[in-house]
Amino acid sequence: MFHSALIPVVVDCLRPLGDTRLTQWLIGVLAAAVFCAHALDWLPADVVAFPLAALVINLLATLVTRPALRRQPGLFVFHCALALLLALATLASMTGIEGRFELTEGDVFDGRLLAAERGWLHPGSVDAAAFLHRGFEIEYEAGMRRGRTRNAVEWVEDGVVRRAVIGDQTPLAIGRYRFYTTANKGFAPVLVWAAHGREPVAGAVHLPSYPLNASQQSQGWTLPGMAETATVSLLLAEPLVPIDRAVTLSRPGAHRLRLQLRGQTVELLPGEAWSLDDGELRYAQMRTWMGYKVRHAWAGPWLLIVSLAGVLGLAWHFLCKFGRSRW
Amino acid sequence: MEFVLNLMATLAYATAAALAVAQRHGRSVVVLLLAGVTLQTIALGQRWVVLGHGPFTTLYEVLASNLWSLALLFAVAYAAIDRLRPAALVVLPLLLVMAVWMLSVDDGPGHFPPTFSTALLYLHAGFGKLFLGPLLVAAGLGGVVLLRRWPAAARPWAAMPASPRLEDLAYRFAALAFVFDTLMLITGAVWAQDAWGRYWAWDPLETWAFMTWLLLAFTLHWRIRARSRPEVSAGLLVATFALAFLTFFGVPFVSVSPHKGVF
Repeated sequence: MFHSALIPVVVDCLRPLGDTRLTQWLIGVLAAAVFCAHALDWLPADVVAFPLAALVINLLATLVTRPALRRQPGLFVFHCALALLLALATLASMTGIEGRFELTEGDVFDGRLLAAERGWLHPGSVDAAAFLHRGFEIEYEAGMRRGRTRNAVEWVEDGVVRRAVIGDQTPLAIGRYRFYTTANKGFAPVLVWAAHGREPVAGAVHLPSYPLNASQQSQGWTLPGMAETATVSLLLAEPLVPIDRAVTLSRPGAHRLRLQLRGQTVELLPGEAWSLDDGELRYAQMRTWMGYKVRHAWAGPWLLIVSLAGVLGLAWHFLCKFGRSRW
Repeated sequence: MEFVLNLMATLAYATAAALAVAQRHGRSVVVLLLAGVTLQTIALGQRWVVLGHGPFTTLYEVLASNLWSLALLFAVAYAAIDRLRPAALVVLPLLLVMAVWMLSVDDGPGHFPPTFSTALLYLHAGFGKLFLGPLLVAAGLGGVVLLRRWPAAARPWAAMPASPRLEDLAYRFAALAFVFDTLMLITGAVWAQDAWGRYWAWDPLETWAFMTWLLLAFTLHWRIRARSRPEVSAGLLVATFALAFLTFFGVPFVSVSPHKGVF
């Protein structure tokens, strides 16, 4: 009895929140917030969340307090779908992660990210999704216009080694994680520093992204266990991505590596070494590195189902409304 | 050859517009529009075969393909619905402006990025055309409602259906446009998820497309809720079309956006 007496009170309290004049105002405020977030760099994009939240409250209150809306099933489905979409998108944002990292050819991704944006419910680790980068080929049209990317990868799934070629809109999917190649990629000479009396230690130097930084292929490399940094530069006889013809970019063929350390400079071919007083610095081989984006995406299929249901409801509503009379 | 075909199509649209402005509505307008569409079909088809991809990348291609779809959709609607014909006085001059603009821009080939090699492109672009077409009709009818308030312009429309009837028809087309606009946004989000791993990132084109959707939602809500004079909702429809036009033909070509396909 108390329950049945409470419902009209609750509905009366919600009625002002469900006023469709308020809907008009809130749509306007949302549009203004979107415009300001887009136009003003200093304004965080999250400012859109407030009018969106207010619209959700308005929408839910309307669904509860307006019998006329519930009597139009197509329109009701559309508005319910809107509310559900926002809820799903919010949940996806809270549990998601978006990160980036660079991986040398021949190395396995160990979960460490260079940068990441995490939802506060995401565990923060991606190390469950390990894969091996096995090299890339990228097509370039004349004019240095990037075409298809083909990146060979390898991973273990259910105890079985699997291989695939990913690139552009074809990600590597491991669990709920999606790994995408990016335009950020380049060359990684592998150097081996063998200090006297110690085990040799190898390291890959990620040279700046190519061909974006074609004229600046230099990077510093701190010798393992030392405080010194060598400057490593790639010397090419000609650009690997010329402006006047189409090519396929992969590892450079003929090239030399210039090393500058302790005021001295040497140029090495792959396999050659530089003898120093306290050890040997050898240029082992040239590899590539690829920049990846990783996203944790579980909500996509649900968002699609809900949004399609909503638009079908809307279409059904208009079909019933306008189909009865002549246009 | 492509330029000649487009020029002939422009002449067909110009003649159709002249007939509409002269209040000579009828089958001739439909025939001229369809002639223009046919000429453009040949031009676009030839270009597709030569380049190996559809008209999706440059301003010229976007103008040409949307002019083609708008002319086709309007021709069908014009032939099917008598009440709609006054909208030709607004729509056909606008199509003529688009045609002249198309002839004036560089028609050289653009870069077809690898992320465009997907069926989602055709779905997204298709829904976009099915959105813009009905919205153009609605805005055309809205434009007539607004123009007939101007004393100098009122006389030509005196014999036409009353403004509330025109506005009612405009509302129906706006509702149809809203359904396809929503589908365009959904397929765009699916494509973005496929291409870039995220379904929405507030890039300039996504932002302005969402603003257009919001304005159309506001207009439909206003029309139902406010029950105001036809001129108010007519004005909102014209404003919505203007925003959609800027979003389709302006934003992708002035912003540095993944939608340009180069990144």
